[in-house]
Amino acid sequence: MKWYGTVLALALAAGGAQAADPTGTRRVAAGDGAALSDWDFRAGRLEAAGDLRLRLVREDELLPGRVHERLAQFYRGIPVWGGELVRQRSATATLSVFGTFYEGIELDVTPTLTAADAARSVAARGLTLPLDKQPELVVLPREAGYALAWRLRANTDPDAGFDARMIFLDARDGAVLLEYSDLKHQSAVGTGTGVLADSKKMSVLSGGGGFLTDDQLRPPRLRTFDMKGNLTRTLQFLNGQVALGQSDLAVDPDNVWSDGAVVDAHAYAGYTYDYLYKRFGRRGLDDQNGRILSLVHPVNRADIFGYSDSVVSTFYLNAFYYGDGIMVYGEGLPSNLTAGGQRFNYWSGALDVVSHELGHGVTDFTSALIYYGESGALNESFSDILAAGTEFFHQEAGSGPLKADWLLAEDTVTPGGIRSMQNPAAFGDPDHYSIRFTGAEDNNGVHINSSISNHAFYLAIEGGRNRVSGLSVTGVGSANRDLIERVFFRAYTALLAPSSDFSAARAATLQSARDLYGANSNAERAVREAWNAVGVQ
Amino acid sequence: MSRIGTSLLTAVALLAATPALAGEGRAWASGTFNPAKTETAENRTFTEFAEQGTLEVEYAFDGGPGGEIGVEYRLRSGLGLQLAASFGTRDGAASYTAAFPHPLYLNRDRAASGETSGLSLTETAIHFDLVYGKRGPKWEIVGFAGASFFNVEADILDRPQYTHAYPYDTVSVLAPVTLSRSGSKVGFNAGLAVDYRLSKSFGLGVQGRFSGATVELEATDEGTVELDAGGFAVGAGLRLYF
Repeated sequence: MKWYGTVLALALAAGGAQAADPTGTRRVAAGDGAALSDWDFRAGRLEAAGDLRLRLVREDELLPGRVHERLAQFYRGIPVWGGELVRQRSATATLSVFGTFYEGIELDVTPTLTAADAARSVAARGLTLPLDKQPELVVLPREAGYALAWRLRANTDPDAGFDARMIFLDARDGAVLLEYSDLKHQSAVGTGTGVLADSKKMSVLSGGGGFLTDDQLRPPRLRTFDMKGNLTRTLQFLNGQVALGQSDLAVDPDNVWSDGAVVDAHAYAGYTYDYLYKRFGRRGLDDQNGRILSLVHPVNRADIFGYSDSVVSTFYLNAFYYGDGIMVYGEGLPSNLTAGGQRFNYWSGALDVVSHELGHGVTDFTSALIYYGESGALNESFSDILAAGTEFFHQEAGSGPLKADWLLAEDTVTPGGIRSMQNPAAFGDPDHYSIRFTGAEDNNGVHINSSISNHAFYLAIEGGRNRVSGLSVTGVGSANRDLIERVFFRAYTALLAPSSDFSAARAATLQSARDLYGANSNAERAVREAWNAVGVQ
Repeated sequence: MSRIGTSLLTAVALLAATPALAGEGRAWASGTFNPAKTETAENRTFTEFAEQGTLEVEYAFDGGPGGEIGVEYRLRSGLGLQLAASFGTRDGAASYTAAFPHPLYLNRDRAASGETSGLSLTETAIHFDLVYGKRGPKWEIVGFAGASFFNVEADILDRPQYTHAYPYDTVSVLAPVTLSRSGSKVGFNAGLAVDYRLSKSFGLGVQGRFSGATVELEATDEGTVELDAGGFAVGAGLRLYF
């Protein structure tokens, strides 16, 4: 009768062995029973064959008598990236085996590319390979199978934003198989409610028992400081008398952000960076991932009656780009106050406002259009163009809050905003060069005459008839807005000089259109018709 | 000790004890094959970057070989009781579609899909049946039905790991990782066996057994994989009469 039991045991043992021998990636979590016996046995066998090698042995700090052995996976003498089993042992037995083991590797482990070739390839990208971190040949598991690769950890230029890049180059042809940042940031993603009660994500820093508005996911140093209504400290910072540190960053205990001014300043700065990168391939204001610092709450709304008109105008009723990547967003007015019949909310609550201010940063680092007269109007216009482009890139076209349209600041200055690119005359701004502002006010009308270039940009995309000249323009259409955005961006950042005037802007945009899309292209035609319509020759 | 281990030991004990009972009976050992393909799908959700992602996986396990041993104790008038233990193995594959939340934007999932093979499924079961048989000098036909206790250990897909880089609009999924998961469930079985006696004590036989239960395997994220255990298995093997 014992015979029957033996048969049963053998049969079940055969079944267990079959189940424990699949191919492919195996994540091992064997804590007891047959799986532990199996993996303990396999680990021993693989160790004897050299496919697992003891990398580290550590005594358990919490349980005396326990030892943890780390067994790194190798394939024909080459380490398998990420392949490792961790075996917990007591004095008498194996207690657990955890880790990942890659099976089914079939590779020629002779590299075509030498280690020196791999190092040169990385150096050619401007990365620095630390002397103590030479290329290592590894087997890289990928979805498409396994690859023989050189693994390098190289540093970027600190001036462009320091990063340590982990790079895997194909050991046959040098192609980049995998690359990621190896700096161990404490990145966190939360959610926030903006000024207009909309939800958005917040890329922040985790630390100090809370979360801080320091974006760890985008390449530049993108930080938002909460000045907590301390105008003195704000001015001291702008005057270079104090530096802002981590304690000045906006903070939230649970990463569910509710200060709309903070949320929108932080998120929209990121949106603008994304638009510049995705639409134009530009890496931030200086194209080198330079810092982007946003300051919110420079004053308190409740303190408005204690300040001079100048302070109210600058820190309540305005937002401005200070220079060197610093934006300051005005506080707006208490809900019971209006100015010119309009209510003013937090200035960071409008995507086009944030993008407009950052646009000044781009201009500063490129054409540096002098902020006076026609060049100043072009400077302002470029920021408006960038603002409209960012809105249409991130928001649905339409009217009302959080919609992309041709109004400026309409989400924070209500009703109506402060300018219209579609119909400048609605705000008393010129829509034709012949009626441009020629007075001394507003630096010779930088915020007024910008509407001439703004309207040309609008007409080149949407088409239409100019109110003054009566000339009609066939635009490229809203579906092709990116064509005109690139034309103007390239012209205003790469071709214009600091003292350029409207005529130069016309010539530069036509040149840009020809360069990008060819002579007599649809884009060039639309741009020419648009400038003709607004009377700029 | 696991539930399946306890059950198997119980089965062994019962098998060993069976000859001590008065009356007739038989024992058998058969090789089996389950030709039916087992397919299942799962939808899993997970939280990443403050948003919910999804993973949809379809599994397909081919038919596979197995074995069975058992013992029958005859009561009277053709009625009897039998206890059997069976196992079977299958190879399988999985295809998945995943939606990974974007780290910077709400409602802008990054899609990924892929396939992986080399999955395995091992199924063990204990069957306790009521038997009715017609027995002649050489031929014997037996019908049976009863309860089954299944234990299934299968490879399921872990949430795919990926790499991404700014602007994070796409992901590069790394090699899919599988996790071994097990689950148990009580189900049913019914079948038919035909024996041919070669001698007083030995014979040959064929059988077919249909069994079934839906076993839940816990995934790493919020979700479970429901696998149909059992199916129709056919077998043939030795018979021992006492």
